[in-house]
Amino acid sequence: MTADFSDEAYASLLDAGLNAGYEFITVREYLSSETLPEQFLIVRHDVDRKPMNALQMARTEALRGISTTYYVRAIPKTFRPELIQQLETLGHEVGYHYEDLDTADGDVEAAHDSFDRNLRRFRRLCDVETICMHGNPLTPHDNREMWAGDHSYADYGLLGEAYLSMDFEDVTYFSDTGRTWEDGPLKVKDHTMGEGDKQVQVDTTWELIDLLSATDVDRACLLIHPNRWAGSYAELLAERTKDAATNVVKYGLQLRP
Amino acid sequence: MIDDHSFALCLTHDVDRPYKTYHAAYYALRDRDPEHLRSLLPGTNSFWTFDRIMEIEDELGVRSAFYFLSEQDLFRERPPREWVTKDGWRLFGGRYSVDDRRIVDLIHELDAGGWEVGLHGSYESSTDPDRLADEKRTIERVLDEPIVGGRQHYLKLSIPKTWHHHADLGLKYDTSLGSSDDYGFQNGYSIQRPFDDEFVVFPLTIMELALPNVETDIEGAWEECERLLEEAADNGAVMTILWHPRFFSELDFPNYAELYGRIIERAQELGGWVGPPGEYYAHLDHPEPPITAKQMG
Repeated sequence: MTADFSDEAYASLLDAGLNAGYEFITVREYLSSETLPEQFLIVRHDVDRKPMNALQMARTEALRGISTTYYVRAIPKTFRPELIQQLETLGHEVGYHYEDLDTADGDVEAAHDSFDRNLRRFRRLCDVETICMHGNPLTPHDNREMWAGDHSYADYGLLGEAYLSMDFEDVTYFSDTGRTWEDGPLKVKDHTMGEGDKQVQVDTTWELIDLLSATDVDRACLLIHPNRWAGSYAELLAERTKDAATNVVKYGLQLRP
Repeated sequence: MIDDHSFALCLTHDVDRPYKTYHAAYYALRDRDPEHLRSLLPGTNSFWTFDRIMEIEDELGVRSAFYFLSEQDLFRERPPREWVTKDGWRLFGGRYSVDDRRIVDLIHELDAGGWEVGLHGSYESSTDPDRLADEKRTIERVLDEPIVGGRQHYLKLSIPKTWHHHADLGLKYDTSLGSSDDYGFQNGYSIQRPFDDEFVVFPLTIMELALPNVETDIEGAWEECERLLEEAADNGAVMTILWHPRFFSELDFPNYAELYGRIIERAQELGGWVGPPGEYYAHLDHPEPPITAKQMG
């Protein structure tokens, strides 16, 4: 049987979406379109580490004519110029996965200086119009809070932010954080803002495939971390072990007074 | 001169030492400042200034050339007797491999952002065309496109032999003609054509090392730079400057980054064209090659 959170499972998920008649759109298209398709999927990738996994997914999608959105962190491990350009060449949207409030230790003005510098680095490589915050469960800051004051995305010529600018009442949000699609305490900062009251829950990718095949939701956003999906059994085992250890820490964080 | 500009300022950087290694201990002792030792910690390296250089130039709307070195490794490629000599360490110690992932990523980022990537010929390559060819191939393999020009390490030239080697390898220009302890237009205001053909030499006007007392008297150093810029503007010169990336580290080399920014801004105020030599070269017209007997016959 095909292992969950493997390359094969991911290809099956994409095929299920296509077969059920979903139109795949990018975050940029979602935010800039005057009229949206009746039934669509937005696949959003947060490239936190293992950038080569992202490239593998990008190729799998491109083979199927699917365009998705890749948010890449500006750390040396993931800021790989050639790879970023390849993602765009394959027809995908690339955005900045920002964590500047964390790196500035909560200083909003310093965070914006850093954000400005990093965004310009990305824009020298590709066309960036949307951004998405990186949630580090071990820092006391929520990077989205850098938009709480006078600064807006428009100041940077951006269309919007993947958590803050989407209507999650209309678009159902599913995330693979914690290697489960089910919402819960493992998604420490990975939650939508606002009134999105989710009516359906799934745990495994196979359950998600069933949900999409039955078109039980018309519009959905899937957050997929390429590093969580493995191309081999050995990688899957290593990633599951790492996730299990991380999940223990996350449960511990939830139990803090 | 390019478009309506009255003179040109070509910006270059020789990537000699992107990592502060044994220098950390040396500077800590020399300056009696343990802050230098921080560069030995993972993730901190004050000689890695490329982000800062790109920011400075991006904000000023200019680009420059970065010349990469594929030098011999002291322990793997040099005889053991050199391992304990000062020259051995100075010439071959603490270098880098062009195949390091960070260097590969840097080369791609520079290239994608519009910066020129060129060849910094190694110490012994000025008289060794096979070695120079190998170094050129190494960098072009990473860059994935032909290199246009560069500079020899330590400005080491054997004239005209080294330039013949450059031209034979398909390089279009060289920027090694100059001095590390003097600055100015001693080699003329114009580019040179040693073979009266398309191969061009950009004389080096300023290497930052040659400027007087930059760390203690930036205004004095600035006066010299401004004087040279005005001389360039008055004479329609092609002025070429070299700022090694590590000189953008405020900890190690205070004031040099500010001086560099001032030079660019003043050149722009004076109506100069500012950019990398490769881009300047692309705007040049070249002498017609002489008609050979074979072509006539």
